[in-house]
Amino acid sequence: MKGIVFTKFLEMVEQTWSEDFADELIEAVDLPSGGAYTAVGTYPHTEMVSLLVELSARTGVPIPELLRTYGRFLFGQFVTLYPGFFKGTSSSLDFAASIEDVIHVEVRKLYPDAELPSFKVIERTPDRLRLRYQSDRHLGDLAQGLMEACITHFGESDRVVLTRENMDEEGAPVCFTLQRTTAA
Amino acid sequence: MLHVAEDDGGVEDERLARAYRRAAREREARRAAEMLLEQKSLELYQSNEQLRQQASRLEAMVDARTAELSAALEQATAATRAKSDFLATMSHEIRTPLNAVIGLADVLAMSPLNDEQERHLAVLIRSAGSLLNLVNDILDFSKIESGHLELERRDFDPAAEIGNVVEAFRPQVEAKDVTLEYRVSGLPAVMRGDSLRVRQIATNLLSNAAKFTAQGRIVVALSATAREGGWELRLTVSDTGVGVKAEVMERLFEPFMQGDSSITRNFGGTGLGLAISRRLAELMAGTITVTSGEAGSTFAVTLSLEAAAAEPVRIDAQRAATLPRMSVLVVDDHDTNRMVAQALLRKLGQRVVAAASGPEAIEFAGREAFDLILMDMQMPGMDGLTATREIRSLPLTRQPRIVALTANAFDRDRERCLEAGMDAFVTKPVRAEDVSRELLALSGAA
Repeated sequence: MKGIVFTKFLEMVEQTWSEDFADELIEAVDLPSGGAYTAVGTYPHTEMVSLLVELSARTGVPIPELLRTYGRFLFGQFVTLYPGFFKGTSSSLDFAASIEDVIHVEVRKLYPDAELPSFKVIERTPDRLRLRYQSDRHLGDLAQGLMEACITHFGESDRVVLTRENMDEEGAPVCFTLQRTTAA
Repeated sequence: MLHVAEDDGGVEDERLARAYRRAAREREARRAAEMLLEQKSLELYQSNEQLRQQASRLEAMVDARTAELSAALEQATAATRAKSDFLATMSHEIRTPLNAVIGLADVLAMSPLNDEQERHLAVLIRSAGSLLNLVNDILDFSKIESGHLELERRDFDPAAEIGNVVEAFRPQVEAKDVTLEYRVSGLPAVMRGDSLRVRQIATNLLSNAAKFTAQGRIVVALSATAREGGWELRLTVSDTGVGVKAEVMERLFEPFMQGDSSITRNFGGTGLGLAISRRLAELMAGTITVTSGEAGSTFAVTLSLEAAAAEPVRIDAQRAATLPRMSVLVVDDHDTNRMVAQALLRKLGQRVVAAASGPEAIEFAGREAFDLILMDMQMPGMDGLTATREIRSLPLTRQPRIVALTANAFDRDRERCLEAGMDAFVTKPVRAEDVSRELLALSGAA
């Protein structure tokens, strides 16, 4: 798992709770990397799981909820870090549809070894986008947070409804639907 | 207070220690990032290096291929040159004995002969002529194919040139039940081009028409239309012969192709005539086409020729019969050739002296004033070119006309002759008409 997922996660913990809280969290978990994360590095996925389990235990917030929150936070970070991805895109449907074929292509140029989730477009009409999320990491909740933030980013909270259906019991793959409503 | 202070101190220590650990983590993260950066830089360098090596490998490959190609081209050029040289040599080797056969046959024809001898001689002359034509066809075709054929640009009278060809065929054609017509319209008195090659095309077409027409007629029509800078000469030869089948027409102009294989059996020929004619027409920015039906075939040729530079000088047939008496020096190392030339010139009423080498020729030319020198090109020791230069540098009161005799029919030989100071060029075997023409040119100039 790319380092940026860890550094941004800890940034969120620091901002939501405190720096001390983040330090305590790191020290409380047995991390092979020692928690010394750098955005350009690569670390075991299990470290993220350990951090999430510990954070959930300390805060009482369920892991899925934590992941959604993190997804929303991460999207905001992407907007700041990679403004180029958002140029020329004016709707959440367009943006979400471009993840697989545009954004991930760019990501691979920087990180050829990145293990990226797949966001396959399975249906596209002017008012409707269905995406199939699939990842070995089973981070459907994180993906959901990203989608929610995406809709908010484009100012479409009142016009686009996000629904999610798990296609099997284990939570992966997951299908997201972004549906434009005529009401607004 | 103390308890609190101690407590505060403990919290403070704890915070400090945490800050240290945090700083240590940050340092560790930075170190990892730097390591990654170095590693990525190295990878980038290595892949750049690979690309550079690949580029230079490709460049080396291109260089090698280019070298291979140039070598192959050089080989091909050398092979072509060798072929061309071989042809020149063969041309010489075949024409030298032919020279003797045709020349002596001409001489014999001027002697008193009985009927049987005359018949035999006629066959001999015809056969030698056919052989010469065959050799010439093969040489011409090879020259055209190797790009060695250059066209002359000399003024000539098209109506007279084609007329001569027609007349040459008349006895042969009219011996059968065939009439031969020659129609001329809209022609200028003179044009500029290669009359020999124009005649050659006409000869090929007429030869076919004569061969394949058993009865009826052959019509040769010659006309011209003016165009920018010159003329489009149009020659058609129509006959009432066997005609050409549609499926044969396409390959009619291919080398060594005849209408069908039975033609060789029945009519002979090399199958080169039309191929040569087409190449010649193309060299003159022209075309050659054939139309054929039940009632025979029509071959049509168009040629682009230049406008004449000057008014024509017509050779008077009367004067040809009564040649001026001149003093002629024949230079040739070959005994038979020398004998043929001498005999021929004597028959034409000329005074002849013969020299067997270049030095001998220079010696004779210095001692006696000749009107005409017929100079062989290939002689052992001193060749014709050198002898000519030497003669030209002699302090003579009147320089003779020097005409090159050569078995080589290639244009670069002609250039070399003119450069050496020669006036004209005659291809062996020497014919009575060639020598007559040179004598006439001399009397015209005198």
